[in-house]
Amino acid sequence: MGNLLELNGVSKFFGGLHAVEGIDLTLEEGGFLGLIGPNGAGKSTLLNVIAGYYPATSGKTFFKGQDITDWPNWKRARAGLARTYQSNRLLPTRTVAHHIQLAIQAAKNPSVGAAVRQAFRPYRDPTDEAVAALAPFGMEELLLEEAEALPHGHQRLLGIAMTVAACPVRPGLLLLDEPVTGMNDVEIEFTLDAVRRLRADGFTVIIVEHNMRALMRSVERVYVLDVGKKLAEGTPAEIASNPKVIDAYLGSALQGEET
Amino acid sequence: MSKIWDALTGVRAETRTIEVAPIGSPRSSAELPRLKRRHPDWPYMLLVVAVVVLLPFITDNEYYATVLILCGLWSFHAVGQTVLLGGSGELNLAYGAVFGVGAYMAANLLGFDWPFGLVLILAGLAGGLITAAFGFPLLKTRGLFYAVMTMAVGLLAAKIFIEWTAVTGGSVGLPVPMVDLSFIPLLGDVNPGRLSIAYLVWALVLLGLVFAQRLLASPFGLILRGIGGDEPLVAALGYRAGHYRLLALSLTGVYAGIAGVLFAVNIGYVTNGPFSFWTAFTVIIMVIVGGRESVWGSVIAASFLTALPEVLRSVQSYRMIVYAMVLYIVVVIRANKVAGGIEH
Repeated sequence: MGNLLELNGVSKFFGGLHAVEGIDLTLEEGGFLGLIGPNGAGKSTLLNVIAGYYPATSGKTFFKGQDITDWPNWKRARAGLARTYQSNRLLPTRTVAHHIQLAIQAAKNPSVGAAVRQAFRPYRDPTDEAVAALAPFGMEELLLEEAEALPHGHQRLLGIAMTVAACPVRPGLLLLDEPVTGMNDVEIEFTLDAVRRLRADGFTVIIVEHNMRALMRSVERVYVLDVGKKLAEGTPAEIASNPKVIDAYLGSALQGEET
Repeated sequence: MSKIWDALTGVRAETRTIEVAPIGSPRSSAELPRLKRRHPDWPYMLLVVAVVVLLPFITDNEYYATVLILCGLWSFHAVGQTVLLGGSGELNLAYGAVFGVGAYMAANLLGFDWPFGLVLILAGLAGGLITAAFGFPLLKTRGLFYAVMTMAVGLLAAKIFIEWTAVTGGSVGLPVPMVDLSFIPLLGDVNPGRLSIAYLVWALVLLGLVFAQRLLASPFGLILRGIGGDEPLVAALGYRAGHYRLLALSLTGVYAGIAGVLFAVNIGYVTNGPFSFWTAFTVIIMVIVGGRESVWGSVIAASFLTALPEVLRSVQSYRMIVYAMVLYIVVVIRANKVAGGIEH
């Protein structure tokens, strides 16, 4: 299979701050890549550049063989780049149903014309589609709850459910920014299971995560960033024993967990 | 009382917490929630029609018909502004200027003996197009900056209205020819005069209201409200937020243009006074009192706030004080909704 995503020398500078510099990265379709590094290494910035939230300062981005460097975020989303946020970024006073309907409509037809035309067609209860979109995350009973009333874990899952439901094409690339932050072990296991099922549904996944135990068990490949640059890349086992990575980031934490 | 205190001190009256089964636990077999339909509209519709139609049977004093027309005009404004304010939550302070364009079009085109229906449609189109034209470059701005930019457009237009005397009559103004409204069927043997205009205005209010309501309850409304909440979040799902924001803004322009014609026909003479951004402010106050997202709320609030000073004529010099106090209390208590929510 060909490369789904390819970054050639991608950099993002904020004024004098070189948040991400000269990143070369390739990811084949179906892959599962973990992006790790110390705080401030540029992981979220890189994810934001891939999603089109920030334009890259230099370098080229290719998705499914197309040069998408100059594409804005909405255009990338339509091509199958789906991202979640590091914080629980939702519409606080809106219901879960509102969020999911937004996502479903985006996958069907995001144009303003389509949205307006439906105002003058007979009303159809969209619950079935919404339930189908929420079921993989076990949230279909929460349809009518407001987002801000949900517990933290459910808010994170809603973010993922929304992103997935809005993705109109397969293969898609799912960019998960610390999806299991603040979750307990059972919740982490559930979430990672859901992500694995999404891979079977045609998603290639890039995951940024600080929870090393959860990450190293799941991903196929790890990409390590440090101060905006690539430090190492390899299988989880290679990375866990890489002296440079242990020195810069992992420290003795991982070894401690293995005992 | 505690609710008012909470609102004043910024404490949310109710912070709802819900009981949720933990993630990963087996699901209960409880029935899934179904989305709630909107509240039915017909009681409100019936009430409006009843008041307007029955008025001549209660009194033949033209003063009441005039109050009814004013309530209708402000309701129409408020319904139009709800599309924007209840959607993307943005303020169009150039609203008064576009309103003026509609009124001046009416004065001029009716003077050329153009048919009334055509003028109404043209004014709506012109209002929408003009608003789209100045709105397009504003898409780069958001929130307060956006509001200030629309206000600049409004101030510019106010200057044009004074200076371009050939079209506007400047500060002297223009007369508006009488319009033959005999095509409007009146119930019973009554003096047509103001009543045909009241019927016309309220018919258009109901039409504009159904349109706004369907739009806000449709995917368009969902997306627009999403954009108002968090534009980048919604854009990341694949929506071009700018298209949605521009259409919502332009629709307020369509309402403004039509309102201008109705205003001109009602008053019979247009001067530049009412076309300042104070009109926009007044409309925005009405929309906020009615609950930003409730179209019926806008109509109720606009009618209430228009009729209130008339009712308060009995307290004479304390009129505006009482008015301001009522307004203040209503805003504090009714933070979000008065009637008929559009939320599913």
